Amino acid sequence: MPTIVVTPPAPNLRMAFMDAMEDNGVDYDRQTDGYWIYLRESQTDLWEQLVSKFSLKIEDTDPPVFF
Amino acid sequence: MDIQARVTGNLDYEMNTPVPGMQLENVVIHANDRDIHGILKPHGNKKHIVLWAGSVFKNSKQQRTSPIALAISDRVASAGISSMLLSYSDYPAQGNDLSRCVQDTKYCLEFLVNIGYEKIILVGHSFSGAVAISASQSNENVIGLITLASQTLGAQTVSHVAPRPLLIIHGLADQTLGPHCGEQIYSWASQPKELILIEGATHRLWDRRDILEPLLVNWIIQKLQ
Repeated sequence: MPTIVVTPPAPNLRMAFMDAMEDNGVDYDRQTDGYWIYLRESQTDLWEQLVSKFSLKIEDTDPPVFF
Repeated sequence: MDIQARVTGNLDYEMNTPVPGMQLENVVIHANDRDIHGILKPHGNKKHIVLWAGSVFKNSKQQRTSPIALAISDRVASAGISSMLLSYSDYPAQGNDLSRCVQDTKYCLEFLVNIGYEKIILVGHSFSGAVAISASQSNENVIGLITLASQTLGAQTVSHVAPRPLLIIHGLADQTLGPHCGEQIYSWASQPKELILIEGATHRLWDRRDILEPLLVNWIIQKLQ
């Protein structure tokens, strides 16, 4: 279950991006440094489509988590 | 000076029209433990009103009113929609006491229902965005909610606003509470919901009045039709 951090898409696409995440059952969280995506193994192909559709820029994969 | 005093449920209130003929009334709501001040701008015969939480900042020395609330109140008046501008009790002594301000807003909602308003849109800017989210949940007369550059603290229960429509507006140039706050609230909310990010708008939002004003007026009139 990788965690992926992406730069927010263009402002006019952000609502549609979040709707797409919800519609497809992808867990995510909006943080100050971008969108944190919590991907399931079965969502890899779907994720590739979303990356392409919203021209997402991946900043980090499995970043360290601080508690 | 015309002062009316009535008893409505658990609340007493006074309505004071300082200038006869003016469509603007200073209201004092006497709750058990506090007095809450507001400006009521009744228009037309419709039982529809917009409540602007925390839009009047009042202390012993001065009173400031949100330019957004004032302007939009005037614009929706032509559609027969009334407005109430609410000042939190004991501001600023209580500062940003979320639970107290939520209770003030709930008292005001109760007051508006008691005097006959049936459909209410609740609006909150910045800190008051979170206040409006919390206060709306216990009142079925609230049929829609607008947050303007809202903080996220206290907004985590925003999913309970549904199925009523929610409009979230945030400025992309907001350096007080960045636009990620509006996006985060959107991510917590349930449909129907809408997120508008305004290019060039700071935390005040009014610097993009050209976008904000028609957006608010159209949304309010559409939802209250």
